[in-house]
Amino acid sequence: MTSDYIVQLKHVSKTFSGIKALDDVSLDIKRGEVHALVGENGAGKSTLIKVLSGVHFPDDGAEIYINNEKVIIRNPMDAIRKGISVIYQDISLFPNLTVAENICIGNDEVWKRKLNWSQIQQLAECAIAKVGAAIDPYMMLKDLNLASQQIVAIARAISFNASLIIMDEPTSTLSSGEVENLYQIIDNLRKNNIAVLFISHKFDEIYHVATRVTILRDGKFIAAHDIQDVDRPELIRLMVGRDVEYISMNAEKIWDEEVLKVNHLSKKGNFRDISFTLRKGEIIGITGLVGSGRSELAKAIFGLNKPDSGEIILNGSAVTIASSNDAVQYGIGYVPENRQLEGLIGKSSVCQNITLSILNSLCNSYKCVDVTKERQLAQEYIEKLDVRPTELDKLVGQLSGGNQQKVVLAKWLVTNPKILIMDEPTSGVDIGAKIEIHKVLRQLANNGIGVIVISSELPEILAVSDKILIMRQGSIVSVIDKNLATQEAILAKALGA
Amino acid sequence: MNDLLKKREFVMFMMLMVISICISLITPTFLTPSNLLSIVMNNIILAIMAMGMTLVIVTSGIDVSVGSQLGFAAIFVGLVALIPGSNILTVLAVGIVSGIVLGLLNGILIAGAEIPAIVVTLGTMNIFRGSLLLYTNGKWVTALPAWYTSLYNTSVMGIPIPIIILLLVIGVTYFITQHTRLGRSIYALGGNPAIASRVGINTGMVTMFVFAYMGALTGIASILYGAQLATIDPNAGTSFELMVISAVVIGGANVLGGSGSLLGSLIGVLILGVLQNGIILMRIEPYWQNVVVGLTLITAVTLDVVNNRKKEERKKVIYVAEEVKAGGSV
Amino acid sequence: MIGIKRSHELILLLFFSGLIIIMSLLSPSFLTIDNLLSVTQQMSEFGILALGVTVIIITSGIDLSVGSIAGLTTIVIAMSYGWSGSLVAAILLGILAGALCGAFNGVLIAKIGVPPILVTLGTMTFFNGIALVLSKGNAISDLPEEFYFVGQGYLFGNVPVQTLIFLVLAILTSLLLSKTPWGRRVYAVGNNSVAAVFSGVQVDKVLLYVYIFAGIMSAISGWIISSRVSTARADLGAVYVMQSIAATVLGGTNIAGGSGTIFGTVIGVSVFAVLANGLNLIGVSPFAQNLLMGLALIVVLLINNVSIIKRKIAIFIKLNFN
Repeated sequence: MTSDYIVQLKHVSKTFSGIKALDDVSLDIKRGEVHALVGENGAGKSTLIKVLSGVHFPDDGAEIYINNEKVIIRNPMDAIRKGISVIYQDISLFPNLTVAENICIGNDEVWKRKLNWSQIQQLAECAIAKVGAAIDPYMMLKDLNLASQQIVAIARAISFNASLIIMDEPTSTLSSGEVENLYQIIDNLRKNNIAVLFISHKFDEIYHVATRVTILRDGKFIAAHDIQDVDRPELIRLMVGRDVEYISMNAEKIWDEEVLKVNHLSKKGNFRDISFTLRKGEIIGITGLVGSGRSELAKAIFGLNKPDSGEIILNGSAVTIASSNDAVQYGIGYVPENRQLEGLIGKSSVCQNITLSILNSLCNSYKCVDVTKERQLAQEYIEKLDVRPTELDKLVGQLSGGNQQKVVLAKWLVTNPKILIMDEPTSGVDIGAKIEIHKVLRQLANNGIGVIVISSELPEILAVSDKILIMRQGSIVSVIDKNLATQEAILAKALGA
Repeated sequence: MNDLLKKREFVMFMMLMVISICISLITPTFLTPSNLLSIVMNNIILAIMAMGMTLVIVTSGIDVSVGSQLGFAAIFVGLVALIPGSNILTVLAVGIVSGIVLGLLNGILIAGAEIPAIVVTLGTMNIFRGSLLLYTNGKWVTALPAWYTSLYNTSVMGIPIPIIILLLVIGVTYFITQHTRLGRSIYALGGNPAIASRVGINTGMVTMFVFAYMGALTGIASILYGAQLATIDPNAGTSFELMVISAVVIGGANVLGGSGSLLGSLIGVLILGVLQNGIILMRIEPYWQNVVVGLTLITAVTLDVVNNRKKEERKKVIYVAEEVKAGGSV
Repeated sequence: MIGIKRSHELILLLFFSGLIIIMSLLSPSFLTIDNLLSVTQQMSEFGILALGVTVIIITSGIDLSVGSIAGLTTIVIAMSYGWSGSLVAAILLGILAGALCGAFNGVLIAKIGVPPILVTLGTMTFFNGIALVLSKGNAISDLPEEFYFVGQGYLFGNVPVQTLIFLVLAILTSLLLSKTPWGRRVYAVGNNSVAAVFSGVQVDKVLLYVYIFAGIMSAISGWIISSRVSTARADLGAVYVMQSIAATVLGGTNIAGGSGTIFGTVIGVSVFAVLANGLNLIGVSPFAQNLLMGLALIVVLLINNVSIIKRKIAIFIKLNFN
């Protein structure tokens, strides 16, 4: 009865430093089917792919079957040899090698000590032909556009006789024509009995190409259905329904004073004609898919992404914010999405991270940092935000995600900002810390700061914001008052469904 | 590979042409066969070593010990040549083997202990030079036998031996980079180090090979060095590593790894050689040479960065605005 | 990371103490005040270069041009003394020239974004070229008697002037790095320049000043060298480039940036100076110095990375013998 399953996962869990990214997940993929894997950001889709492709090793107790045979996937090359290939969003191949090389590298059949180029070319051309595309195998990968690079990755998978190809949001960087082309390719694969695991946020797409769907939520398996058995509202409900309830907090007072006004702000390829107003004491939530231009917009306001046209008005006067330093001078704080890369100086102490943006104002008459003053200030804020452990000299890289985020937040609070922008304020933070951070945000707003929260997590947006802007493909498609919004309605707008 | 004459190499080639034309307009002796030959003959050692350095830089490594390696191997070769009964073959073997040993030592330290290449080679640069000076006590190797020194000026079928050796080195290096798994792994490692091991590349082995090969070529160059100068100073090759690196970088190799071609590096060598020769022919005070060479290098790398940045800017588009109006992708 | 850093300083201190014990056992004249003072004299010139290099390496940069800047400074000082007859003006001009050279590096690196190793590889040749052109390749030695004070004079009895200068500059640099906002930003940039930008730090400005600082240090070093040898010459200082980088790395500054202290660098420089001096005293050929300096660098880093090596050997054995 299981004979038609190409890949089965049972009891797969994966724990990262105490946090369960995957919790007893199962997944069955039939031979030659297109299987959609859906779930919100952070639901565990990427981790599941990485387990399947040999990048991560699952926790004990996990069972993986390929062709009904129990296997252990040791490393990425092992996964590829066992017939599982992944097409990553960023392609993850070698930009400085040719198409043919990228297809054949590591393939024992042709990638021998002494390379036979005609053999390699033949294999590459054959694989490209099987995909149904026409790409010159001698082109450098970096000279192709992303759609063609993706085709090269698919051709590579085919040349390794893949029986399952995993596509991680394959259409997120494609134009409409290219998407049509990809559908064609997927159709071709299915005809050749190759299964596709398709990760996507776009419902049109899922209903267009998939035959079955598995839903993950908070690292857990929720359901698997044939696609015709589940309609869109039901699918959305399965994706967002969650056990934790955030506490929704209303504004005590929203002043009439406009701290930030954005007028027709545009940047080619990033965002278009964005206008909104942020008042003192207000929290605006901006949501939309990753790639909808929300982070780019935030960076534009923070001086890190120069807009082409439009104006930014702070407290009534139009300003040019040319650098992050300008933004800080104007009283804007920005908590970036990628905490490790953009938010923290990991090898430096909690105290030094907190005071990095205001060092000049901590100087004594010798132009040196007044360490006593510095430590007092940092101490005050780690107590206020309840950062644990309360050690000022702890390296920030050694704290948990939630506490790291509080440190980033503290770094901006010490600047006394008028505007605070937070991009995914609670990503990778456990639930207790999430609620704490939400409380802090509301408190800040009540104290008269204008706050912008960018988040993919709809319950979070609903819980913290007073007004919700929904972005899709670079534009604000809807502005909803908090009291009138539901998760389903927001998701529908964000997806364009 | 048909990308050899593309972009960067072509630009550098045009630069070489422009420089050559300017010099030949000023001084007619520049464009004579004998002068052109002498430019080539004077830069054989640089060219041979630039081939190895290209591979090192393609893997995003660097080797500042090659000057010391050159001196080390040259002295050894000279001492062996002085032993009665030695011949070209023994000299060849000693040069290559001592070069490989020195290079491999670098490679093992870099790949095995994960110490950055610049730090390792900075250390071995001193170790090689120091042990050489200690061993020779600072004495030159002189009175080299004629069969050895004549190596530089002998021609076979009308082609001087050094040029034959250079052509062989270019041929072998070209073969390795273009027709072997190893060679392509070198480029793959430099192009995307994060995923190189994911496609089955033994990154440690590739690193060790690259440094050992650099050593082997330095060994070959050392044989020609002794033959050309007839006496060998234990300080031979001091600061020569900077010339080699400059030539490769002018030729377009990216110190961040992933790109760099043999042809580009050869053009880089020729640009340095032509400038040097031109300065002498035009009777410009020789101390202008460093100003010119330094400016050439700075200009080349700055233009590179500016061009690359323009390309990156164009790529930084998150979606294409026109597509949105078509509404197709959702 | 702090664990690694501490262990490195510990290893280095042990190494240094061991070296001093060995030297004093081998040569009775090593551990005398006079000799130790002369050790400090020998280390000051390249120690000062290493101060600038340290700050640069903390930002994850590198500077190969410091020696050429030192050489150029000697020429500028000598020539402008020849024109003006004022030693003070000449020295100020020399230091200004060093600062300008540093600014030239800094603009290309910070504003245009050219990798530091390439910029300084180019300017190393370029600055040297300018010095050669200015001096027409000659050494200049018509300098006044007073000029020799910093390189050959003594204060407080028998303390070399250059030792005092080095000491003052080392303390000053250390204070700059650890106490001032600029120093904090230097570490932040070297650690994670992206996060620094996202915190409102003007990374380009920080880097520009870092290279100017190194230029000034190089100039001061050049001034002292030329005062000691009573000559100005374009290639003075060239020998110290690689040594100052090696001493900095030996002192625990991570070549990848983000960590390092002036204290570490001073020890690194001292190790080299003690090696040179001690070997000289016990009559070992001066040629052994290079060898031992290189060995010291490699050995200390090998000990530092011993866990990585163990892991690799374990994997190697597993792959080949099981």
